[in-house]
Amino acid sequence: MAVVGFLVHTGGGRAQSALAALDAMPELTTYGIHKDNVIVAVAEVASVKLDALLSVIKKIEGVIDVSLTSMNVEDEDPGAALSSEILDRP
Amino acid sequence: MATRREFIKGSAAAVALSVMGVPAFGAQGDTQADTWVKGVCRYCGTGCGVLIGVRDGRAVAIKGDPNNHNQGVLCQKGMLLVPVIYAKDRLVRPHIRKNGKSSPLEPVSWEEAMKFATDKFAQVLKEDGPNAVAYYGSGQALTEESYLANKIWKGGFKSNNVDGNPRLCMASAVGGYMSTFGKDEPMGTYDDLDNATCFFIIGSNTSEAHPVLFQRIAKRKQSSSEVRVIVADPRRTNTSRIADMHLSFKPGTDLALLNGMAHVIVRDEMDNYRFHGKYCTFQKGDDAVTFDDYKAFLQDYTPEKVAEITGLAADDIVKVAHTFAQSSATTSLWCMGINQRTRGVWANNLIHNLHLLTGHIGRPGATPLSLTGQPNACGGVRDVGALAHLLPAGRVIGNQQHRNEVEDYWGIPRGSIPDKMGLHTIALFEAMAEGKVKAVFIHCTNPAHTLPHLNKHTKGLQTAFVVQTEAFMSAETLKYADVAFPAAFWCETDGVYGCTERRYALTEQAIKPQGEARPCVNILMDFAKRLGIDEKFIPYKNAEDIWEEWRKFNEKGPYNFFGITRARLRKESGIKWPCPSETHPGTNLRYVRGKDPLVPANHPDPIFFYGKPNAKATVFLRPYAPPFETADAEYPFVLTTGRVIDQWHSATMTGTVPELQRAYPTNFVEINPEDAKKLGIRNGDKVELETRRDKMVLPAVVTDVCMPGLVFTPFFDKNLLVNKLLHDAVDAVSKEPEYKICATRVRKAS
Ligand code: SF4
Repeated sequence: MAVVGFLVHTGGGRAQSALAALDAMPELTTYGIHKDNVIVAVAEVASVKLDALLSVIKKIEGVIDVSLTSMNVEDEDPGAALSSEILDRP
Repeated sequence: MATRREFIKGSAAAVALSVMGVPAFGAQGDTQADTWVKGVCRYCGTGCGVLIGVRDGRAVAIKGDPNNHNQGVLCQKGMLLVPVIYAKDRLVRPHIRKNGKSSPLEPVSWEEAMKFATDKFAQVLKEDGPNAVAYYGSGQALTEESYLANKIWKGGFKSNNVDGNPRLCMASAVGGYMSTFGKDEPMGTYDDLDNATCFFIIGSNTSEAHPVLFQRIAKRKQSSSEVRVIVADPRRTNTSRIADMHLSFKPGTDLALLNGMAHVIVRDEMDNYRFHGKYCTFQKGDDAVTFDDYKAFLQDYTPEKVAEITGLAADDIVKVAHTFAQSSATTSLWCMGINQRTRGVWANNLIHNLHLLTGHIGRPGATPLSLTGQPNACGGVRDVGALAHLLPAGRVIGNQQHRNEVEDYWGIPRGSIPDKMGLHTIALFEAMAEGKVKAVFIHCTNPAHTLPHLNKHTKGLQTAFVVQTEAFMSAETLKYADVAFPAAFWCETDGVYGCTERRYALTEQAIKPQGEARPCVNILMDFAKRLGIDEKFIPYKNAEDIWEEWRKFNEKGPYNFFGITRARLRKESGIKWPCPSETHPGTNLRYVRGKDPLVPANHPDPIFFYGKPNAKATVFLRPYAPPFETADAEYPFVLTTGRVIDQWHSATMTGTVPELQRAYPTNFVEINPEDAKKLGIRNGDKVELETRRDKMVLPAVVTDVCMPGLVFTPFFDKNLLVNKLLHDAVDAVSKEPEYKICATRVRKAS
């Protein structure tokens, strides 16, 4: 599992509802709404699923964008995550 | 007691909170790693600062550097850099092809590989002379590497055949800055993005190619209702998401649009006469002309005429010109859509014209800022002069005084550097195919994937003896390499990158190179010494020694890096040149009195374009000219190519990261729904693109991103080398190929 810190930029007065939606996602822990309606959050997610997770977050109403701030992969073996699918892609 | 995982989570939250200016959990991130090492992202020209977390000698974490311009934020590619280091397909041993191109690459010792490479180069140098060897470098190589290679080739081997992939991406921007202002590199910086009230984005999909900059622009847009964003692009990309106006002009007609905007600005007296009357001259070709001549020239670009050429509404052309001129501070941003064109330099000139006419220059938020594609094309190649016509620090091969200055600095006899320019990229690969250039050293780039008209230019790689430094086995060019040297990757070595905004920043070594990989500086030094280059000519122990020589190169000149010491680079998260002394903080606004240290404090004018002998910038009369190939009855569509957000160039790095690869597993072709309907194509169908060079089948993505008549494909996928479809016509001045436009047939494949 990777641990990923990020900022969720919200707009249109929807920071609260976006926060509620993020809180409902089991992979996430949130750390409040800050300046310019930015929500701080941390995800615990297999790094291969990060992209899918970010896509879901970006679709939440009121979410404008997501900025990543840190990522820790120390207990993942990135080499092992590399499947033959990638090396042998058609 | 908290578990280690809870510590890591707390750290991740602390880093994110600190980016928001909220102190939390003590020192940020200190539980994630034994040490945090400062560096720069390996990918795009945005040049984000990173901190690499190391634990037990292994990179385990990454975070954005809060002290660099990106203020702690990274995009997903940057955030996933650490796993790339440990990718399974890292090249970790030297390899050679013992019996010619058809024999396999076999792992050998460093000694055997070096001997094999240098024996062949020595033979070519002896039998065919210096013009038969070449260096083909990269805007991703470290500054020290490019400086060293340039010195070895031009001053050591006496061969000006030094070129590289910046020829394919930034050469037209260089030509634009040089011809308009007399000196390369932008006058503004990213700080301008926080002050602009109008963004004019043309030929750039900033949201995908420079994501962190795009976020900064979006943030600026959100911060004030006054801010306007204009996106001019035949594709309706993600970038237009934040646009107030999206101008979807016919591909290749941007010169007409830019002249049309100038027409409206002058016609409606929105030009800043006090500015251009004082600081500009007007020029047609080499001839000086008057402002009245320029006005007469613009008569061909009325909104109505331009509307006919571009397919835009005349009213929109007027509106965009007014918005550009009337804002309190306009920043233009452009990239490959402008540069990779047979009239790329002209298009650059025309963007500068708009700024010079309106005086949107030399003030915070008012600047023409060309975005760089690669992380070190500016610092590593443009500044150090590692192109066939250049010498370090803005000097050119064709100028004897410049050659002599470089020879003196390098301590070699005058006359050592040949007076004839070397071969630019396309000419170089042609010369390789013709057997005129017999041996090439390719460093940190993948031309067998990224050159245009690949079927033609891979012949050069097949014919010449190819030595390649490379970090990844998947690089297409390795198929042609006779020797492959395993290169230390990113934070396995140390060196400086110079990004879009003239900012030099250091990546420090964080971990040991994988396997037998070596820093490229060491590889180049070993290679050169074995070929008889005097140790005194390249007396360096490490990259730091090379940097020290380089920063002092132009102590008194306009390309001034003198104050950017290694010690400062270790402490600070990048410094913007000109920086003439060790106490100088770096420069945000070039050419501005009181801001640019090269403008005398007592200069009578607030702006001083010191790059030009007459101290005036040039407004060029550049007529509209169509691209090399236009759609016609035989090839009725226009094909354009570009990047996608999660893949980088030829994907040798991003292709090793499953989450990025999953996001974009393969090249595809975007086609407008109207065209798709006519051709019976549905999403996911196989579509054949056929150009005058080749044909190829790709999966369809039916979307209104492309206007009718236009198709787009990314180029990252080595299994679908779309550059085979492209022609290799180049800009007459910059010699940059027109990747962005060619004519194609489109049909549903069976
Ligand atoms: S925007 Fe560019 S430099 Fe910044 S993190 Fe992303 S890829 Fe790296």
